[in-house]
Amino acid sequence: MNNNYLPKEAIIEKIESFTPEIKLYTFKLANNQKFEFIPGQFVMVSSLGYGEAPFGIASSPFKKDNFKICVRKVGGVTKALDKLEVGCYSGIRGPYGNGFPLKELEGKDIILAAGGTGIAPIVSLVEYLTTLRPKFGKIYLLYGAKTPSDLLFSSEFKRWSKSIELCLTVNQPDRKWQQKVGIITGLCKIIEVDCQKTKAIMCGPPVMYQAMTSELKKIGIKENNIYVSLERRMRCGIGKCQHCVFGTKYVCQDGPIFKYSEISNLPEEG
Amino acid sequence: MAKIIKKKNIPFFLEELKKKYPVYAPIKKGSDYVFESIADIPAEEVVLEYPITILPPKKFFFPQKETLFEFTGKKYPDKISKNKNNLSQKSVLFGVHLYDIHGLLILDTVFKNPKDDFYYTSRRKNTIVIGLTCPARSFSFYEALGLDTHTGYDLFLEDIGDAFLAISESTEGEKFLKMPFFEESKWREGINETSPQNIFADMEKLSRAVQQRKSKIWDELADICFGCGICSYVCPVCYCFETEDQVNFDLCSGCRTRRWDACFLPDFSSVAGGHNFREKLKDRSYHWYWHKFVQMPQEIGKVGCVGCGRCIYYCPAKINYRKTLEKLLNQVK
Repeated sequence: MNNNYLPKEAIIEKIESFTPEIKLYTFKLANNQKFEFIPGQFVMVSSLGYGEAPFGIASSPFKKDNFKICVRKVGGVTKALDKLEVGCYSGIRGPYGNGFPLKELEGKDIILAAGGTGIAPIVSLVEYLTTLRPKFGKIYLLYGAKTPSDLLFSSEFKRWSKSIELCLTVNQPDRKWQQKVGIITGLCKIIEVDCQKTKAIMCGPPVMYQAMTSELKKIGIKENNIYVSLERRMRCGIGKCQHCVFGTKYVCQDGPIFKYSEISNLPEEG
Repeated sequence: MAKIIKKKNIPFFLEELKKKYPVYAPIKKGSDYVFESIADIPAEEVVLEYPITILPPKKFFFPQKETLFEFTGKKYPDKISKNKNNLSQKSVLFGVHLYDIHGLLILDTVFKNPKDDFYYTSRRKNTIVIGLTCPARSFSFYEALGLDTHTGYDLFLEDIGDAFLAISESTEGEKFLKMPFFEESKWREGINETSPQNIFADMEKLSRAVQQRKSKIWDELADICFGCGICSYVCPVCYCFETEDQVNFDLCSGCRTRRWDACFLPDFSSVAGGHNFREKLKDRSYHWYWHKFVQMPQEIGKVGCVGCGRCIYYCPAKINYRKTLEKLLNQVK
């Protein structure tokens, strides 16, 4: 019998610092095992002795030798992970969750919206879409953060901009900032899509979802064509412990990716 | 031909079982009853008639606390090793009432699907369940559920006066019936534990009743509920758990454990960074009813309640869960 609670061994191959609080970890499974996932899925990463937490996968699904996660130092597990170095071992369970609806994006115009660290799972989708670029229509990536130094993955922006329309905005610019200022909803003005065949995918704080959905509806995009990525406290990742239940859905099994129309009527806030 | 076992022969039957298996059975503890290992307890002390146990038998398959795995390391924990807990040992669980049998059947469904829970499933498949008639009690309402009397156990002992009618539903049960303690009898077979009234008959209406989020009943409940979680711990079908890593003094070795949790507790839905998705007790207590009467019927086709009445009996705030459901049902058409 397979034991779903036993983590697989993984080794930290690389650590890159985005900010003093946020780092990008590259993990490789022990014994050169391949790691396959669908963009939008997450892994339960252990810091043995401290616990486990869910992280959206932030790397290309076509690279199967390793995978990346973005870790913000904010709680017990993440603070412990922050102390690990290259070459250290950790435990991984997963990938879990449903992932983005990749088949439904083919032939469509796509609006990706990310707020702050919400860019992490969107990165895996951007890599997927840019690798298979001809299969999709227009692609926009709207990315907003508090300050320019809070914009993560900036070294990839130039490469992405070659095949998708990248629009950035910050709330508090510095002197060097030349681009848009304000909250992410302000970027919706530049979107030109065929709203009948557009899908929108978002990842960020819950308030961003409500505000962005409102703007997207104004340009004709319906709630059942808008997808959001939810987060919750998770302990098992396999639909048992009940911590991530949201209405009648398990964020770890039925999500983390949900259609906005599925969740807007449920009794709890997103 | 039906088989019976005289009540005076039960201790001999249990002593014989003890030679081969670890046996867990109900015994009296103070003014309450509990399921305990009877390895060191004489079989005469096993009660053949008891109102209810404090904790349901879920504690044998899904313990209050258990170790999932251990870890070790030289400078920091980096190697996982499987725990040596004895999950494959066969054991006997004696004296389970019908509502607790059904509690286990519900837990079977949730722990096996969609992904299997290795620890629960290993213990469950290695346990032989012997059911027992439940005497009539005032605070339970399981008879109103119309529970199926032909499933969930290996052997069932139906009280017929100075003996039990023994009904087998598995090969393990059949093996026991061949033991000399069981005699043939002309007694008519059948277990009689149903009643015509079934408050859970209309699951759809119950679901609509609980979905009345704006009803004042929820405010009234939150005013008196302590949020202690006792109702979750004593419930045969509550199964939330929390995982916790424990580290030894060397900071390199330790284990990951899991323990019972309760959705009533304040941090149940909190995340790192400070946000709590169910901050108010009213939202958390609402969720308990929602899970049992809206979510579980959708997920497994059954309500998350077997009518044992433990939550009513052990609630320190004296909340009557059944009366709350009846009030809610009266508010829908």
